[in-house]
Parts: sequence; C-alpha cells; structure tokens
Amino acid sequence: MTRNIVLPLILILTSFTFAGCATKEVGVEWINICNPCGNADLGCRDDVAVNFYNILRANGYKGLFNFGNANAWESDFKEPNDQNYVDAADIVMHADHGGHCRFAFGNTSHDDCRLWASEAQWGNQDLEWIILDDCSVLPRDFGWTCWEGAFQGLHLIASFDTGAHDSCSRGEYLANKLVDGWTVVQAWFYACEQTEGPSTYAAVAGAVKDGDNPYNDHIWGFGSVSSDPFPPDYWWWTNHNCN
Amino acid sequence: MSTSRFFLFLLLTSGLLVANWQVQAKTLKTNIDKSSLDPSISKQIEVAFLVSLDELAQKMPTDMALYICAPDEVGATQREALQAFMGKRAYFELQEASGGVFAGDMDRLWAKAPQFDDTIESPDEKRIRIKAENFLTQINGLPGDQKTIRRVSFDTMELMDKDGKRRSLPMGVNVTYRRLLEGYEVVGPGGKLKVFHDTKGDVVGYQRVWRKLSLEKENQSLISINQVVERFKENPLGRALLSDVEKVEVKEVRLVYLEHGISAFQKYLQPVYLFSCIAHVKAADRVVQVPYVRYMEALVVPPENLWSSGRKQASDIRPKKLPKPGED
Repeated sequence: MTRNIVLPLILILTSFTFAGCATKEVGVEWINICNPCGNADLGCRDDVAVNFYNILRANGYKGLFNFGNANAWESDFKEPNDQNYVDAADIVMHADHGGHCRFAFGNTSHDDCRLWASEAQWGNQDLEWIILDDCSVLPRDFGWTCWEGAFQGLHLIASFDTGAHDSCSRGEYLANKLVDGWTVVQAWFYACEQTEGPSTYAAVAGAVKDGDNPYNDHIWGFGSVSSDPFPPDYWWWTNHNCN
Repeated sequence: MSTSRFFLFLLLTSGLLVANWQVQAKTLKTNIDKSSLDPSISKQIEVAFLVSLDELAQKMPTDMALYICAPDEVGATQREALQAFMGKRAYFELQEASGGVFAGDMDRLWAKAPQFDDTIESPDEKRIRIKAENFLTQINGLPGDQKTIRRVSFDTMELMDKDGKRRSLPMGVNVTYRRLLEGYEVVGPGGKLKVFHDTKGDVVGYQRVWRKLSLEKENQSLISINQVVERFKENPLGRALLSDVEKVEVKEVRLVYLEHGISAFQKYLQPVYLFSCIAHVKAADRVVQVPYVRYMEALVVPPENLWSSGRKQASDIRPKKLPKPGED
C-alpha cells in the first residue's frame, strides 16, 4: 500500500524537478562604463548583450538576468554565486573588455575587476554555452588551455582569438542565427564575419567526452545538443578568420 | 524531454555524479596565478611606432575621393547559380540594406569537427585559389575588370587531451577578394567577396557584400597624419575590446575605405586611417602580444559617423543582497 503511494509520488516530484530544468534560460552581463576597472568606456556593449537577450526571450527562453554596468558582477561568474546566475542559465553572454585568460567588469567590489580562467567552473549545474564578446579570451598556440578547468559540464566557450571591436549588432546576428537552427559555432563565426574585418579571428573552445562532441551543438529548442562532456577526454579550440 | 523512468534514473545517479565531479574538478590544472597580478591597471598606454612617421607624412595624400553607396544588385542574380553549385537545400540569404548575399551548405560549412587522432592534410593553397576562381566563374561572381587584392587564410583546430598531449589540425580555408579604389583597399565587415572551403578544399560557402559605388566628391580634405597620430596616442585602443594593455606597437598605418556589414545601411563610403597594431597585454608571468586594428576618421568633414552608436539599453535592477545558492 505504502509502496503504491510513494513510488508514484517520487515520479511526480521528479517530473516536476526536471520539468523545471527543461526551461530554457538566458542571462547577459554587459559593461559600457568600464573605467572603474581601468578600461576605456564603450558604447555598444549594452546593444550586443540586450539584443541577444531579447531575441532569445522572444523565442521561448526565460530571461534570468540582464545586468549592466555596475550591476554586472564578477561574483556572478564564479562559485558559489554562479549557481544562482551564470550556472543557472543554459546560455550566457558577457560583453566588455578581455584578454588572455580573463575578462573584465566595471564594478570593483563584487568581487573584483577580472574573472580569471582559474576561477571559472561552469556547467556543474546548468550552463552549456557561454559567449564572451571580449578580445582575445581564447588565444591561439594553446593559450586557450587556461580555460580547461572551466569545463565542468560546460559545452562551449565562444569568443575571440585576437582583438575585436565594439560592434553594436553582433549579438543580434548571433541570436538570429541560433534561433534559425544554426549551430553555436556556425552562428558565432557568421556573426564575426558580419561585424569584423582585418586581423580579427573568432574562436570557439569545447570539451569532448566519450566521442560526444558539442562542436555541432544547437541551442535548446533549435536542434540537437550533445550530452554534458564531463570529465572531458580532450578539449579542442578552433578559429576562423573574419576578414 | 524524456520518460519518467529516465527522470528517476537521473535522480538516483545525479547525487553520485555531483560528488564525482567535485572531486575531479579539483584535479584540473590552471595556468594563471591571478594573485601575482595587480587588478588595477595603468591607464597610460605606451605607444611605439615601428613605421617612420616622417616617411608617412611625405607619402600620404592630402585629399581623397568620397563615394555614395547603393545596394548591390549582382548578389540577388546569383541565387540560382549558387543553388546549382551547392544544392537546392543550400542556405541563401539576401540582405536588402547592402544587397549582400550569404550562401552555404550548412551540413559542411563550419560543421565538421575532426576527432583527436584524425589526420588531415593541409590544403594546397594553389589548388584552393583555382577552386575559388572556378566557383566564382560558375556563379558569374568574379570581380571582372575591377581591381582587387586576393588573400588566402587558414582556419585551424588545436586539441589537447587530459594527459596534455597536443595536436594542431587544419580546418577551413578562406579566399577573400577586396576591391581597390584608386589603389586604396576597401576593408571592414563589408567590401568583400569571400569563398569558404572545407578541409578537402571543396567550396562550402560564399559571401558577397559589395555595395554599388558612385563618385560623390573628389578631393575631400584629409586630416594630416601628424594630427591623426596625436589622436591615436590619446586613445590607442579606440573600440578594441582589449583589457590590461601596457604597450601598443604600431606596425603599419595606411589609408583605406571602410565598408560596413551585410545588414547595415551605409550611405557613404569614406576613407579612414587604418592602424595595424600589436597590443602588449599583461599576463601573470609574461606579456602576451595580441594583434588588432584601429580605424581612425580621416576626413576633415566626415559626411556621417563611422560607426553606429546604438541605443541606450536598461539593466535589470538587482537585489541588494545576493541570494544563497539554490534560492531564487
């Protein structure tokens, strides 16, 4: 008798739990006022991130957070707080400045001005894809390997190998192609093609587990998605010349 | 997304997996010791010119022509030929703002990832150039009698396994044609004919953003190179998204025309100074070099802004206190 009640109850509860996980979520953080952290202010970081956010929301994604300028916090990207922010979403975009193995913020007190690769542990809750619209976060010649520890279930990081520019429209190009059913890699390289020129290479890094490769991942709801590649057997990085 | 039986299995195994992940996460290496770097950076960026400013001042013109842009009419006429070449299922996009087109076999363009132990031969550049030219001939897309410059670039893949073994493999190859106006190159996201090849060298994608141009005014006065250099020194990064730059080396300064991307409305094609630079970025134990370019306004009286300034967007207001993990 007890078994007859408990087992269906467990099934119902687990269904609710996973129904919650099946919700598709997007989050963005962007910084136009960069000078508190020593970088020059920019004009289009808000457009890149918010347009990306709004297009995904218009296509079935729940908007978890849209934090700009001083509201964009480095602590949202690292343990334990990322469990409520970056790692609670399926896809996240950050738009500011960047460099080898780090990207920047405009708020000095939550916790500081740079998120370093060594601080990133993404995907152990939810995050599959992160777009870092910042310069040179994934540099060639194996400079990108500083991010290997970030892949705790994370599928892909899309960013740049080289310098890039403050384009207003990159987020829109990217989001439109993602909801058209292009893969994350295809959509990112296309967005770079339409917004960059001489000397810019886009780059994407991913992890592979048991031959299941997220290289051809679409975002949820718009095509196939690989399983979480953790612990990875290997990591890869690829670039594309946008000139 | 799955059956209730699958959910139950996941629930039972997730606890074990999480514990396992946490243990393994600690074993992964990290390459940067951030404690050795001061997060506050110098706002003064040292600028060094690897080109002679005196020579530049002597050879730069004092005026250049200004052109009016109109949407390209050729791209739309290539649709059938592109589908004949790539197949009827190939993607085709026409943007009215520029008249630009993008086409691709999306099962092959940026769609094949090699496995770790795969062997891929480097594509032969000469063969790629011939294939690109044959393709453009078939779609009636060669630049014809327009003067162009042609470049070939190679995309790559790097792989590293958990034992630290590393491999590099060739990926796609790109052939880009840029037009020359009175000897000055048209650069930017637009102003290009581009043919994308896969690792076998086959053509798998094509882009044409090649606005129709007509001469608006000749002899438009240019800001002198000395003035531009002074402006550059005040802000060597401009719109580049680089952080923590200590020093910038300028490798080349030249005059070019700037054409915008496929969906941008552009009325004028105006000259700009293009600074090709190397940024020296602070890292934990060394300085790394990152290539970038900086576009600087060249006309004394520019007919329009070089770049869109976007719209002011709002941020969510966040709670004063962070929620604890697990609570929204």
